[in-house]
Amino acid sequence: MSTPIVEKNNISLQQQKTPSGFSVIVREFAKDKLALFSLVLFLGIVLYVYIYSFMLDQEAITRVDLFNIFAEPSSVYWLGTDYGGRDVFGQLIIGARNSLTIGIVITVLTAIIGLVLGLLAGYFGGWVDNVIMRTVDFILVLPTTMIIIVFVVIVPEFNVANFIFIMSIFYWTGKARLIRSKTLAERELDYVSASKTLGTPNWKIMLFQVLPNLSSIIIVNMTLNLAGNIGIETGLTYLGFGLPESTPSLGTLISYSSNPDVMENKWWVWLPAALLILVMMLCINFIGQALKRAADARQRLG
Amino acid sequence: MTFLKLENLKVYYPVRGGFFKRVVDNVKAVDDITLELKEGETYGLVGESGCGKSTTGRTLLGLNKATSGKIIFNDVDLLSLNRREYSQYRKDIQMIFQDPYSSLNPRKRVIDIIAEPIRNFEKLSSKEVKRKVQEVLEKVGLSPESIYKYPHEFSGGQRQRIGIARALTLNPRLIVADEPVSALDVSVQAQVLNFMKDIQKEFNLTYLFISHDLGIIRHMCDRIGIMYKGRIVEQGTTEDIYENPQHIYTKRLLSAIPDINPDNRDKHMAFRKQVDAEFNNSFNQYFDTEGKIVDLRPLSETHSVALP
Repeated sequence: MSTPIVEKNNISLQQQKTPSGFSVIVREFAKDKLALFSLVLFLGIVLYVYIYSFMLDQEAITRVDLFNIFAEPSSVYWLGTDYGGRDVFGQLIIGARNSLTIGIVITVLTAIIGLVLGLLAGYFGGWVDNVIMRTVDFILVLPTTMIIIVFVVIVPEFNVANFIFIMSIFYWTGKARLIRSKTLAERELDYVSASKTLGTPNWKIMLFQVLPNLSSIIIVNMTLNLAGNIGIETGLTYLGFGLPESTPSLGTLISYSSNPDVMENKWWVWLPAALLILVMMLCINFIGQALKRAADARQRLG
Repeated sequence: MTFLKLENLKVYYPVRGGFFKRVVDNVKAVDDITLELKEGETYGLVGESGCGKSTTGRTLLGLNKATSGKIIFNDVDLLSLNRREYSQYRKDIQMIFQDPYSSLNPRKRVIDIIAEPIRNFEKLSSKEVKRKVQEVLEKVGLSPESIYKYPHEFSGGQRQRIGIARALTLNPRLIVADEPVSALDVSVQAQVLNFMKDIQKEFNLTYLFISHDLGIIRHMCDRIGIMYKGRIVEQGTTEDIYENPQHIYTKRLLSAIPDINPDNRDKHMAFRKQVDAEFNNSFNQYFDTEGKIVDLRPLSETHSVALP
């Protein structure tokens, strides 16, 4: 007689456990089929690109082959070749890897810098806030694109690492401002005062009390920024100020379309890269939306 | 031995203006107040919005910076201590916040909220922490099973109990209750207040009870200080204040309490008119030449009032 009661109690105990963190996100994706599809597709693209690019020889792909200029897609060249007779498919894979790496690393770096400085400025206020925000203002008034172009000209060997470095220096300011403004609002709430009276040190309050409340805005901002940073990279490369041709990127492939003949008659050179960017951006945005809802208890679907 | 004494406490906020952001004026949030609390009693701080009662409480906890004065707790001036020395008194003084909605971190589960002080001050294994949290939750009348819930799953009264539970975990000696029930509806107010009274007896707590609700103050407090414009205008036992108000501001406050008995209506009206007339005639005599409220003057052993 007594066993079923115990079991019943156990069940009710388990039901009272509110799921936290990861399981909420899983449920959110399960409810939103579009986001789930986007996630699978995006992860698929990323995995495929990174694994497949290991098997490709960049030297061989960027080697000029005069006998195969603008070859149409065939079983040898899946997506044809460009004006140097180079395999477009190989360039697409390596280019996507470079563009993704740049986008992801810039996003993470700027997020870390912006997060640390934004939290410090917003939480402590006063002169700390003043110093950090004036620095941000200073960087914001600099003509960023000009400096990047000059940097590209000066640096002898321009590669992915350099590109990430120069971009990260300039693009953390927006994040720092955003996080500062949210921190300013949060630190006025009583739970921060409560933590102080309970003897929690400031760095713990910042990291474990305030930061979780900013997580939704950070996640949304980061995903949108990821799409944006990939866009900036391809944009600069398209304009000719990004990576050199020896380092393929999606922007290089698209920039071939500035030639009207390529644009009209040789669609296989630029269309795959453009479509890949479009698909990745959409995927990232749908994923971002789902994460945003998961982070906010009131917006959840699941 | 003094349990707690605020001595000439001042909290000024500078008003900056002019070309170089010089300090042109001060907002005197708390302007030279002195009060003393004995162990085990409830001291009520009453006053209108913005009169500085919350600031006093928050300064006591170190959440606001005092401009000058002393906060003597256990014969030690808390304001003269540095951070490390202060931390040992952190455990003894805790606060119950006004708004049960913003005072609990929405991202934390109940166990994390209540265990926060334990994790700061005591080295316990996670099992012991859990047991202790459940113990405290039971004490405040919540189900020990709800430790994994988030604050938004509770009602306002339950949330306030979580706030009280958090303040109690460290076994404090003084609790600053900053309008602990003003965000709750009346039926829940009584529940929470009586509960606070019960735990006061159980743990021999001292309350600094901040409120603008005179009914609650009368129900809860042994002694009362009436604050007005950053100063205490009258101070005494509950009886002194309610039966024998001396300061015009106190009289006006008390006359504003509605009387639901219709038989007393005329009497109450007459009292209000009388207070009003007194206010119009003698209002100025309660202020000195600079418009500052005059210092307190003792009337009896327990009762003192700011009269010239």
